Amino acid sequence: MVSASAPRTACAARAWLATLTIALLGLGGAARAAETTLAERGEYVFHAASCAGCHTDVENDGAPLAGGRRLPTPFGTFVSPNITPDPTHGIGAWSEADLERALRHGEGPGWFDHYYPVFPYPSYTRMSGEDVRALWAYLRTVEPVARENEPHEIPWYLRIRVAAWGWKLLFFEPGEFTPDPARSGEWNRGAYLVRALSHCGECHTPRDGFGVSIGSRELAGSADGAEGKATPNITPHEADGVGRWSKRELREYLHVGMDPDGDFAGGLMAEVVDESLAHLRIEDIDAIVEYLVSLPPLPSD
Amino acid sequence: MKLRKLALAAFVGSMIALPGIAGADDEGTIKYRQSVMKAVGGHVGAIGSIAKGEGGSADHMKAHTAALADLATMVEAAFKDKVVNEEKSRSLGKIWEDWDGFAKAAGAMKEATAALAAAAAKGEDVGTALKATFDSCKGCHKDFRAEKKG
Ligand code: HEC
Ligand code: HEC
Ligand code: HEC
Repeated sequence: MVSASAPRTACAARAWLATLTIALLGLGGAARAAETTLAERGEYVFHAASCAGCHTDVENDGAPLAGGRRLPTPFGTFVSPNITPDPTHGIGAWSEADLERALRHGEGPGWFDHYYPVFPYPSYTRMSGEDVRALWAYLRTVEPVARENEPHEIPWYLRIRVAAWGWKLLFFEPGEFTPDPARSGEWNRGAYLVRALSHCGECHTPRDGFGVSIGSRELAGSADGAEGKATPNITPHEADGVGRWSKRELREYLHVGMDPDGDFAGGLMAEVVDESLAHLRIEDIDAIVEYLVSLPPLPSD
Repeated sequence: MKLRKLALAAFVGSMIALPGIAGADDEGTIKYRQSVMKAVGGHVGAIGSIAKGEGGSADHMKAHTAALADLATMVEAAFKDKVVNEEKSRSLGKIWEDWDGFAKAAGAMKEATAALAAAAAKGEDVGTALKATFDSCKGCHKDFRAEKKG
């Protein structure tokens, strides 16, 4: 009995191992097939940059990228716009240069058309030209949706975009990411993902009273992060951050959502995992981890 | 010997009887539901370890998935009493304001973990059921648990 079933059990266990590892590490998905066309590469950039979450009214089953998601901030509630290629209500009439200006300079094609930094262009400004081009190619392939934009629910003095212009003048530093030649290629890829595409700091770095990310506190957590909710410290600080997590544990959390206690990410991070990080190649997840563990460990406030 | 047992019985009796020390007070309610969740996390962590070949065996896998499916049937009951305490607990008031939604999220976990245990017991491919299990954890935590603080 034992001798007959033992090999079968071992064999079955190996089969489990294989499928479980695939499921756990998310290595099997179609999104990880090699991208060939510019639009396919753009889709990867689109996932890494998490554009879908903000521009889709997920709660009310809104059409993808048709806007309408409400984003509460200390300055009022913003309503994301339609970025499908609909010519009237979306960005169908835009050119690639218009998208580049929006991402890199927080500026729209209209007259005095400055965006508020709820649209995380302070991170996207660091995107590479190649990634912007690919993203544009992908956005052209999305289903157009004729959904009209809603006005933001913000005070009248913010509705005229002078405030956005003033904010940018004072606090915004445009400019593409420049790699640090003293660091490895993997570290630089991680830095690019964290600081440009995946914009981790938009939620994990605390802001001052003007809504400006405090650079000296990079990723040290915030009592009122995105949508007014807390975000944890993810610097390698032993007690307050993720200093006790191994690289493997960090990788698992980012790719699947499971932490070292078998606990699962919730809140906005569950969305970041599902919409963005789960779609990334494991090498990119490892690059993010490499960058995170290199940061100065900062205590929480 | 007998005296000791008597003393123990009296002690346990007083623990249960005295409000504020133990029993079904708010602190106990929080503690119990968190213990259930910790047990869930323990099994899921072990399943992950086995999956990565860090330890365990096929039999362990069966046992952990069966225990997880059992625990899933307790989740709804463990949360039935409304206790909101921002300091000691991350359960949001929304759980009891939207009880149907919460019960549905617990139902998703029951379904996914039952499928996982069934597949593991039969030695079938568990990849899909495992993914559904993870999604059920994230789904409920996303809507009904407060964000972890820095
Ligand atoms: C954190 C939420 C968030 C994310 C992530 C985000 N956006 Fe936006 N986006 C906004 C908001 C809010 C606005 C409106 C800003 C304003 O009106 O000042 C906006 C504006 C825009 C506009 C201008 C639309 C118009 O009609 O003027 C474009 C284009 C755009 N986003 C594209 C993107 C792309 C591409 C990505 C991913 C690379 C992205 N967004 C990611 C929130 C977001
Ligand atoms: C139906 C809702 C629901 C589902 C499904 C659910 N959880 Fe939870 N979980 C919660 C809530 C709510 C809390 C916060 C409890 C508190 O602090 O009062 C929690 C807390 C936890 C904790 C922290 C316990 C502690 O206090 O240390 C862990 C670990 C955990 N869950 C793991 C899991 C895993 C793994 C799964 C999936 C297999 C899962 N949970 C599925 C609602 C859920
Ligand atoms: C939209 C906001 C947002 C973005 C963007 C974001 N996070 Fe998070 N993150 C959160 C929240 C909220 C939590 C707490 C999750 C919870 O309560 O379960 C979290 C939790 C985490 C944790 C777990 C910390 C712990 O102690 O449990 C890690 C690690 C993490 N994030 C890393 C990242 C990385 C790396 C990025 C960029 C690739 C990122 N996050 C982007 C909001 C965000």
